[in-house]
Amino acid sequence: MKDTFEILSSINRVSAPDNIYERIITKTNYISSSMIYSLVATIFLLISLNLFVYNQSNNDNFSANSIIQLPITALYYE
Amino acid sequence: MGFKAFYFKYKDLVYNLALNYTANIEDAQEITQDVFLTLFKKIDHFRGESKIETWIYKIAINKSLDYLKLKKQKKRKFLYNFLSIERASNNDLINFNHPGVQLESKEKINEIYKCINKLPDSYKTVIILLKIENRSYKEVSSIMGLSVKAIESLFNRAKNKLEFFLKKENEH
Repeated sequence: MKDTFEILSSINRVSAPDNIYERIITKTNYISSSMIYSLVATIFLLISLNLFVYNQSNNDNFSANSIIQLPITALYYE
Repeated sequence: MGFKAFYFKYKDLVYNLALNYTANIEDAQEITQDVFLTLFKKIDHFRGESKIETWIYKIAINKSLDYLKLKKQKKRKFLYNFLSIERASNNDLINFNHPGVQLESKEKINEIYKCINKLPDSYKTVIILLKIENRSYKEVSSIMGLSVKAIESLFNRAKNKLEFFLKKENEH
């Protein structure tokens, strides 16, 4: 058994090949497809929300304008 | 320390450990890549309670063991589908390609590795760390999260089991 462990401890240490670093960097810069989908969905939601708010404010303006533009005869005097 | 400096400081530690688990260059490269990707994501979570080397060792050991398990499963599935279960169980051999092994001891180490690969994960780890990585009992105890006494007893059990498998291998 001593021989077995002596043989095992004779295994030399080696240097890691350089290409591994390049592979890691490529992977860390990689944007996954799920991330792209969620980004697109977020942008779409934001645009929809903007349009909704814009339409709502337009409707409010219209009703305000229509009150102002009422014929003068419709006004009440105390 | 930037990631590049971090990588170049610890790359050989991770690569050699992965090689000692898999005894195969391609597998070790794959594991090294995976380990550094995990370290890159988790470096902010390192709390400094243990030495950074110990933390890297733990991650590298887990990744190596997971990789070996996955490889074994794939191999078994493939052989089960196309050949037979009996052959799969007898065919757990690794593609031995360890660049740190000298030519004259290659055959013997290949034989030892076949037996090491039959051992349970904790036995395999304790032998690799103590006898191939040449780490002290204290270092191994902090890496494996066990007391020094527990490591000593684990090593004795691992040694006996390995001896048993080697005898069995020599009988064939």
